[in-house]
Amino acid sequence: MPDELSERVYHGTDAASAESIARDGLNYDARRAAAGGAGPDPKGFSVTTNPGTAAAWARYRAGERGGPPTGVVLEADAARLPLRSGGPDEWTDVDEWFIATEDFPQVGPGVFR
Amino acid sequence: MGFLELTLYKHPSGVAFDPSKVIAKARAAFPEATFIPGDQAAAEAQRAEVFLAEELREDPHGPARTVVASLRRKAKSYGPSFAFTIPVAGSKPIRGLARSVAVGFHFQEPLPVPIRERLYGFLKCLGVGFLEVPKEGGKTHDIVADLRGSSDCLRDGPGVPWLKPAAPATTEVG
Repeated sequence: MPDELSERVYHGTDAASAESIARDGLNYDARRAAAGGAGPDPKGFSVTTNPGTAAAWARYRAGERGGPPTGVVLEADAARLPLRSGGPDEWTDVDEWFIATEDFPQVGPGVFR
Repeated sequence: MGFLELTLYKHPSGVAFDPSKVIAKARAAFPEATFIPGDQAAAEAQRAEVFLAEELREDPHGPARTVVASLRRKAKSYGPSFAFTIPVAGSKPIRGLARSVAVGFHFQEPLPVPIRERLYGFLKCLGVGFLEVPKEGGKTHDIVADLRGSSDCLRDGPGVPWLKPAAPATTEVG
């Protein structure tokens, strides 16, 4: 878990998912549809403070789902997001923060670019 | 799009599904379904390791390692993940997914009431968990039932695999 939150956070994904997130905001149903056979992370929508990690996620998701091979790294102003860090019993990756599923309606169109 | 899901994430029961038992029940309930062999979450982590192999070689502790480690942890925490599809006449198939953390169905188009009732019935017969449906056009979800009955589809042994074990208490010395 990061010690402190940077001003910008990043999310790497394939181009189609990135377009949907930027255009419509976070959507629980669309996220489930994109997750495929492994299913979504039930704790919520993950972001990272490390743009390099986001770029690696973008390349992998693009390779898995199609579209431009670099994928897309979305970014957002951390102050505009209802971010949470992992609780004491909750696993998170290095530099990972997340938006809980119940907070998705707070993240509308244009928040991620 | 739409979904129906029975989730144990943050459910007070403190139990986890055994996806193999859920799939056995699904085979009986949906004989027309096609079951995809293997743990899909573990397979995803393996695909990532192959796809990012060059980056992992060049920078063994870099961002690619974070991605692979994250997928492996999620496969272990929420999996195994068994997928299946249920055909629907004149429509795209329903996607089913059984994980230790949740069992659910995802569909592209509105479902006829009898099919929807079958899916509801199957999830309710699993006995325990929050039954969730889409809300606000799918932006979020609503809990329509909190099942707290018995279930014959649970993992043996205490605890749930998606919770991080508590750190051991430290004792002051001296």
